[in-house]
Amino acid sequence: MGTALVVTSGKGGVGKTTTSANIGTALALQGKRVVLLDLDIGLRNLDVVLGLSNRIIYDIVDVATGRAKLHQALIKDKRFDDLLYVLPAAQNAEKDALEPEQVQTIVTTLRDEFDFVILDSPAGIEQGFRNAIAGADGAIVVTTPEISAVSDADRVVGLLEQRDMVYPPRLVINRIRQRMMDDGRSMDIDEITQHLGIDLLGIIIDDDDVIATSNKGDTVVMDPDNLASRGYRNIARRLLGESVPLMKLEQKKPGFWARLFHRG
Amino acid sequence: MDAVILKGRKDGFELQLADEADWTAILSGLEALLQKLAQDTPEGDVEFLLTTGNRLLSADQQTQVRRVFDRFPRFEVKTIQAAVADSATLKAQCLARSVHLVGGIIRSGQVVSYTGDVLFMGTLHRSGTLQATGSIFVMGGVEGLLIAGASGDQQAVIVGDIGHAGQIRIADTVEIIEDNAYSAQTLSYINDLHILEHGQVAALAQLRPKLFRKLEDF
Repeated sequence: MGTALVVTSGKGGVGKTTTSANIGTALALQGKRVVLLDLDIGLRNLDVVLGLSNRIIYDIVDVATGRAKLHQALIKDKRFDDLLYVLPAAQNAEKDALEPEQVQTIVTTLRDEFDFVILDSPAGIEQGFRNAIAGADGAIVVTTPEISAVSDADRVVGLLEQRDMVYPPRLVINRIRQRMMDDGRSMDIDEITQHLGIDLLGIIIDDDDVIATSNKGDTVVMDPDNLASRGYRNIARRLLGESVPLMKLEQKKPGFWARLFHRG
Repeated sequence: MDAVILKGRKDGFELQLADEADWTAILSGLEALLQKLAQDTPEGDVEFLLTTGNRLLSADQQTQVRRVFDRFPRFEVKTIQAAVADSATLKAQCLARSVHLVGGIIRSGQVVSYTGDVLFMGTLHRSGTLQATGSIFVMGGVEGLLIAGASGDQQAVIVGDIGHAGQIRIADTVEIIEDNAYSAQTLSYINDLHILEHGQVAALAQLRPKLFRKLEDF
């Protein structure tokens, strides 16, 4: 019996889809069977980020309304042999074409077959959000070190706490810009975590490669040396129960000798 | 002993219902008493206070009583009073007079309401709301909206550091908090000119003496 986790944020553009795709991929890299559900009806993009959009035949609304079987709609990511699947959102359906009960049924079915069901929630707190949290056992709240994102995350945590999920919501702070935090020009990690009052699941350092890789339909987490990728990998390990210390933010410039001997 | 006793009071006449008497005896006793009064006093309208002692009249019983009075146009029952109340009413009254200890986090978008006073020891986030029909005493961190006297009580006060609050409201007054000239000893209240004002908490006993005597006046 797998775990269903919803990735949500309230505010748009903080990296829910990227986080879903990368955490899903990182879990698959750890040998877990993962299925990603895109619940952003009308504006699907999880499939795009994973480079799978041209393989879509059926979507989640087709499954919910009985036009297709669940297995017909699941898209396999060929890079991972039978480990990573995506259930795409509908592109041409109304925003409220889906009901929470329908999502719940789909999640319940998938949970039997997969270790992790990751639900990518749309922005906002309306129908799409309610659909996404309906079947979830726990939530990953994504925020960035901006006051607007933190404030929306706070609202979302409040809504999540009203539903007694199996696991309490956990926080991912995305797009951390080290220099701004060092200067004190953006909220720091402790400040955000303390303010929201939920456990910190991980931090992701802002890196150009996150966008660059997703533009190519790939996930940054495939690159083991990338800083953002390490953040996602740590999150996956923490989800699997390992205790991984938080990544050190202050990145010391390697000395001359270190550079000389630890090249590549 | 009579089922209904007539007593003269400073402010009028009182009809006492005996606790031990049964209901039919009370109705007949009441009618007999009113009959006698009607004969003894030929004219003049009289209003009675009806005290029911340790008996709580149901709505049905109250109409029965009023129906008896209807037969005597000169007599009227002004109020019906009991020495007892049912537990739900008492609980609501107790709650309204007690100080609620409130902790935890009130998040953006959440509205937490209380009847009575609140001693707040949690965190109120920006865009969250804590409201009380009575006063609010702040010990925790407040960044959101505080509403005291939510149903219009102008005697309500807010005590504590509101320097980081977005806004405070007492009854129908509003203040947008912009500077941080407040401390844990800050007292916010509505003054005689109906303006939301800030002072020191030491003045509270003088300004709102009733706040300290809530249970005595019960």
